[in-house]
Amino acid sequence: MKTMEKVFDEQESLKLITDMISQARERFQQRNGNGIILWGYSIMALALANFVLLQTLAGECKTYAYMVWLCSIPLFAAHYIYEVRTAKAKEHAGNYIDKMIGYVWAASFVTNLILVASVFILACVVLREYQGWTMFLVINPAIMSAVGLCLFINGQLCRFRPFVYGAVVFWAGALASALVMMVCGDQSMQFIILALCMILGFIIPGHMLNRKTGQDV
Amino acid sequence: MFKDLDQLLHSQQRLAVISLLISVDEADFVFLREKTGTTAGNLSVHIDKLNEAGYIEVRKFIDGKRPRTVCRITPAGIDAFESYVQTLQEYIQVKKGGEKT
Repeated sequence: MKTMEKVFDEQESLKLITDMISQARERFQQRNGNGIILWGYSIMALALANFVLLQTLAGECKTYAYMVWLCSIPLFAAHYIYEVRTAKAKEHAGNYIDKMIGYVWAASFVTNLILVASVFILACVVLREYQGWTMFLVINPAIMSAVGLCLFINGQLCRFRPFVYGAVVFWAGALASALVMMVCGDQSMQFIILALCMILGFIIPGHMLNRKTGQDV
Repeated sequence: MFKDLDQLLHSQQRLAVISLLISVDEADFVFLREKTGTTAGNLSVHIDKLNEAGYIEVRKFIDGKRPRTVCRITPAGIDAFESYVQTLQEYIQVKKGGEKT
């Protein structure tokens, strides 16, 4: 097959390079916040459910309130399937920044998983005789700090300020979660803080991103 | 004297493909066809030429039920592109100097 080869000068050549690079960048800017919105609403709902159960269940049964977090496993699976399906439906052009953002969230997920497992081992096995349950108070602030870190990197990499502000909200929330026991002596308040952080750090920025790119869930 | 412009890259379609690939990690055939605005046949020929020169890597596979072609720029391709842009800039600078004198 013979192709048409257009002869072009150096100015046209430079213009073509600039146009193509900006087209590739344009595609990169068309990301959506659906994933972050999905997680935002789901974790907010689970945090509120955990709070309500802690308030309503009595005695030993209170421990079962934390079981609501098991719902995050099918949620994670649903999110993964959604991501794979939408990635398949879209035209394919993998971006370095998209990859970096993915790696940061994946690394944070593994870190949080190890953190939760370590807390369980320490609280239930090693420190069982020494008020080991207090170790659980660390989980929320630690996970919220890690989420803040991911949001901050995500916001800076894709130059979307609301994610950066969301990161600040999560860091403040982590600190507030640690202080809440001191102020009201009630651990369940940590979940109200978490739900608020989800609204301010995930849901609102996610909708803002969708509004910016003209997509919505 | 200037190095001659790389003739393989000094073609509208191939330069467009390389410029797109330099900005992304990898891109598939549909993306390249849409962005370059060329026909599938034309694009195939240019991709083959760039692949033969070692400027890009081409991966062909079946994704579900449909065949896909994914391209990625190689280190040799990055060097060639950088050298092309540098030569181009030198040409432009000399041209501007010539116009002044």
